[in-house]
Amino acid sequence: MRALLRLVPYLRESTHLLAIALLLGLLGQACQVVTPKLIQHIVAEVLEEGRYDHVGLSVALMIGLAALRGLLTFAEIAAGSVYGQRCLRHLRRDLYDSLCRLSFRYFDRVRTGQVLARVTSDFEPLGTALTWGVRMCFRNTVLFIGVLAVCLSMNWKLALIGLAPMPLLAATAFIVGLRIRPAFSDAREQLGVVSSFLQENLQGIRVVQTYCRELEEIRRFTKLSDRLRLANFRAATIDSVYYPLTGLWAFAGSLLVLFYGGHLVMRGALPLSEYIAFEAYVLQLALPMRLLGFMVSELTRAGVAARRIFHIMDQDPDVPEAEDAVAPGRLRGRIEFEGVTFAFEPGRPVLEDLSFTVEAGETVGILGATGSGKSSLAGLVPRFYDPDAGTVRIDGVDVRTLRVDDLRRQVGVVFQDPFLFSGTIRENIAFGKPDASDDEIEQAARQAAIHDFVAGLEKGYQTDVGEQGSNLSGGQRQRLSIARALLIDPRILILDDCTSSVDTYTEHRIQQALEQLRQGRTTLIVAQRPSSVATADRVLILERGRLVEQGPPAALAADPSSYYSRLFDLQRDLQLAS
Amino acid sequence: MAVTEAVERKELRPRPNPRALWRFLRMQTAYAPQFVALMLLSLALSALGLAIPVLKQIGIDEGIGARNLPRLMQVVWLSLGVIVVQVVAGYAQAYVACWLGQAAIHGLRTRLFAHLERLSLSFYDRFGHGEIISRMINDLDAANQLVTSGLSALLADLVTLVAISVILFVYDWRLALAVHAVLPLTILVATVLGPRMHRSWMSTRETLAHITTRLNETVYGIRVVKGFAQRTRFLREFDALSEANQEANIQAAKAFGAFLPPIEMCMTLGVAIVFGYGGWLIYRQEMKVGVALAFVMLLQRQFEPIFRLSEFFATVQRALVGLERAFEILDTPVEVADPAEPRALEAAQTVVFDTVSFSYDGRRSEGGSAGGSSPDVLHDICIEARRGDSIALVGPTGAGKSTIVKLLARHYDPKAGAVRVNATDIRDVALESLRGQMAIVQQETHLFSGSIRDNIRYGRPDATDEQVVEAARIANAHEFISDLPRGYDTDVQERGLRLSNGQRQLISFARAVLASPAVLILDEATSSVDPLTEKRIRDALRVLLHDRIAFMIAHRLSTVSESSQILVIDEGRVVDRGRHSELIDRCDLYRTLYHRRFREDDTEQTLLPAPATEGPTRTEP
Repeated sequence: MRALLRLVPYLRESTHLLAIALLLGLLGQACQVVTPKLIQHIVAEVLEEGRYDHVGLSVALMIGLAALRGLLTFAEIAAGSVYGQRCLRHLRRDLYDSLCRLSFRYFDRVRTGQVLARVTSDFEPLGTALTWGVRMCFRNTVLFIGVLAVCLSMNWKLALIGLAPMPLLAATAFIVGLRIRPAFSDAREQLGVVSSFLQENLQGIRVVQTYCRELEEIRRFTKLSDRLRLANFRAATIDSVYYPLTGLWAFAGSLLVLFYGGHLVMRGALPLSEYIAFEAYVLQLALPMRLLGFMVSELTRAGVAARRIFHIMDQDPDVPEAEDAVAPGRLRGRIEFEGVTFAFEPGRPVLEDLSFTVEAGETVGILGATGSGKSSLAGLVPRFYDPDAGTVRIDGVDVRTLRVDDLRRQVGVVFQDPFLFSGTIRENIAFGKPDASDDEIEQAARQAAIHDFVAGLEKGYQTDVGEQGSNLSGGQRQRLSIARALLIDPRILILDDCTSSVDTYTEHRIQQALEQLRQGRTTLIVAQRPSSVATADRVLILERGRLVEQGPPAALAADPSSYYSRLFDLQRDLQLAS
Repeated sequence: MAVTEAVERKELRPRPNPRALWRFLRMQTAYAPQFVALMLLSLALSALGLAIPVLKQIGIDEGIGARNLPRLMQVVWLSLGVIVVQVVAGYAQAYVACWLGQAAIHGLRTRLFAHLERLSLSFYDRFGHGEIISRMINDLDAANQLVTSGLSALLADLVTLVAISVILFVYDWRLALAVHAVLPLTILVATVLGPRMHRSWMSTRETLAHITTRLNETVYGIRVVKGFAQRTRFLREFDALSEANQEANIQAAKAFGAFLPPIEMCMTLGVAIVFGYGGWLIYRQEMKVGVALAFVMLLQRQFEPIFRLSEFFATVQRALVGLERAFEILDTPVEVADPAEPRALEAAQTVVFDTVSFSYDGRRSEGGSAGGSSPDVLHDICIEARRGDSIALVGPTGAGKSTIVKLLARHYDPKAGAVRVNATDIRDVALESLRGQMAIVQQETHLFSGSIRDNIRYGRPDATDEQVVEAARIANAHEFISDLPRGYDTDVQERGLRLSNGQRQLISFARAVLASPAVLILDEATSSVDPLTEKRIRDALRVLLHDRIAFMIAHRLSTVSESSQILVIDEGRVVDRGRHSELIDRCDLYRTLYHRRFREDDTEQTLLPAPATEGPTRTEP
């Protein structure tokens, strides 16, 4: 329940609204507490005094109070919900913010589907707790205390006897609450498992079908789904013990009143009218008591959700921004790696003791075998990761002293997997610069060799790309993501194997366009083949995270012993072999 | 971005069709005994609930009022019994309801999944994964609610309402008549304000869905968001969505707040009548005080069923929407299905494409896709391949190369013409015996969570460890795999492990090798692999392919120039075919594609196809 306590700071917001809501609630409950007293008067009058004079007045009062209470309740709910929703929005904002701050490393190691299942399904119970839960807790506590006070003042013995089952009720709530939390948490966890299995299966459906593994997948899914069914069922059955059981204790109280109060009335120690009012009060007590169970289960749910959400909010960004970080001015684009070592996992460095310099305005190609650390190297420049040892400098300044956002605004990255957001082509190109003009967008599209394609579409730049760009082919997505990077007019451009899905001719067109664009900006090209970096000023060759060769492509090609020339020859041989 | 549009589309859906409900219920016929038990339990619960006020009345009037202690004790004991039975029945009812609800959902969920596994790829062109998952996870929950609270309560609620009236009239018809004057008012309030409340509640769900969608995209695209320093903008946009949800929630709370006072007024009016008019009757000694109390308690019990009934329609509506969305998937015909009398296919000796044409057939017309309406993607494709042949498909992006191999694996069926293996139309053979002979390596690889070993073994689960290693060697994956601390047992999604795209391609290559297919399809299989590795793979392939049929697609012609036959594909047609040496002499397009690698002079630029001629989208996934 410690997680729930951490919600408290969010509750401190707009406390005046809370105060108003509470005050209104208090008054509303007061009206409710008076009603049985009126009934007592009526019964006393007609039954014990044999008159019918003031009944009309009492009835009118009863109706008047109900109307007043109605108004108060309405105002209370309105104020309370504005308050609760503000708190919730604040919490949501913070969560989203910390989600966006999570490091690349975090997303590298967790399954995206599971993060999502968590965050989205946990919002709801939290919302319920912050809005409905807080108000209900207060309302019912007030009602309970008020009614209790009245009962005690009327006849404390009868009151105590009527309340005898209270400890049992509290015990029930506590015990069931303890058992229900793991059950809910289990059910949520299992839901995450089912949905990420589903996600994975759908993504690989072509593989599944090609290898004829449908039956096996169905068998596995059925097993998981059945586990989810059981988990849900278990949680629900524990939950459903609550209502009947708390009802039992509440009714037991009213039964004790009937039994003992009946005795008192028969002995003449208690007027029947008073007994009847008492009876009504015990009924009023039953409501908050029974809701207690409901609230406990609701709060438990929220506690589970809060724990998981705070788990995300507690992740340290491993690319922290220094407190005195400075905004770089317009970068010149000189990149320096000095003794850089980097590992995703301790003890298995992906890059080892890497030192090199890229001059401002230079174009450098990075080649190396599959898995040699090329993409990781590129990711260190815009500070997607921090090195474990050594320093990355831009224009002579350690990137760790720069404001991250300002740095990244001047570094355009074209990722290996081009991710597009649902929305139009225009929105996607303008991603890094939402206020770009149509001309700018068209220019960027031309440079990425995608304009002709877009112009040929019925809706042009307003065409919807579909969920994650699903309406486009891989090559089209890659070119859009190139246009996206070019639009921000970056000082440093990083192309991470970004032409693997386009045909040779298109690659050539992109390269031609890039050749002009490279003027006056630093460009890093991560590639598989020498041909992709042939026009670079210099080429770096990586082998198992170490820099093994560097130099202008022509020079490397001329040296027959170089890795580069081996690759180069190989590529030519492959072509000429036939 | 497109969130609002997506939602608007959803809102345009036709009104839900109640037949979905019957269909859902018919699916549950196996659970009929449980359903009956649930109904009976619900009825018993209502009856027990009504017994309490009556017992109270007897206790007060005949016990306390008449100073009859044994009578009072009788009532107390009887009430205790009723309450205990009520607890047991209440639990049993909830238990059965939960069990039924979960069983129904589980049944529907697995049926949906089994259908999904069989659906052809054209279905997945239309539906996004997020959409399918949300249908299978969120929408089914509405069906659960229908079972647990909607249907089971319906009968009990109706019976309760009638029973209460009957009891009231039996007690005192004059007072009963008087309090029933309030009943129409209560019903009116519930039916007028209830749906309003429900509507505003729905709007909170919708705004919440926007938030969820945005959250989804942010997490999937987090690298781009961060890479382009757009966090602040996203936060602002998210907060705007959140604010909309906040507003909707406040409106819903107000609707609820406005609903409460009239309802309570109705109830208080009832109580006022009981004590005003009833007080008069008591005063005239025509009625006992316990009856008045029973009246009040029974009146209060009327409210819950009325409210639930007024909500029933909405519950059904909501469930119907969810069910219909589920049935929509279930009703999607499996376009590529086994024939009525599937034949088993012998090991493939020949593969023939006999004037095959294909179109995606307006499948992407919804959603305003990039391609507009779908013309034919392939025209009159003819291919002949024998065992030992390797067929290369080359051509510009979007020419239709991937579509051709998809037809071969029968991910789609052709519109005209036929694909034949061993002279048998592949539509006449069992899917499993067709696909069991094929393996595909795609550019976009998919690895399943689990160990590398399991991934390689995917197409042949009974392969020995030695065979797995052998396949990995051929695919050049063995070296990097054995470098991993846990080797072949490494989980592909393990903490800290990041397989590069190239390494993933090698693993899926090994998977295909191990499956030892008669037909091997390589669709840009080595696009992210360095040339050295690519060369080694090619050398291995030469041995591997000598008694198989291979189809290869590559943007880089170096990979295909050794093929026994190269087909040059452009705009869905075979524009030329032959060996490399022939094509390089006579085919302009081929020469252009080929030479571009080494950037020789640009004279043939004018001969190139303009990129605008790219065919419909998605032909090259």
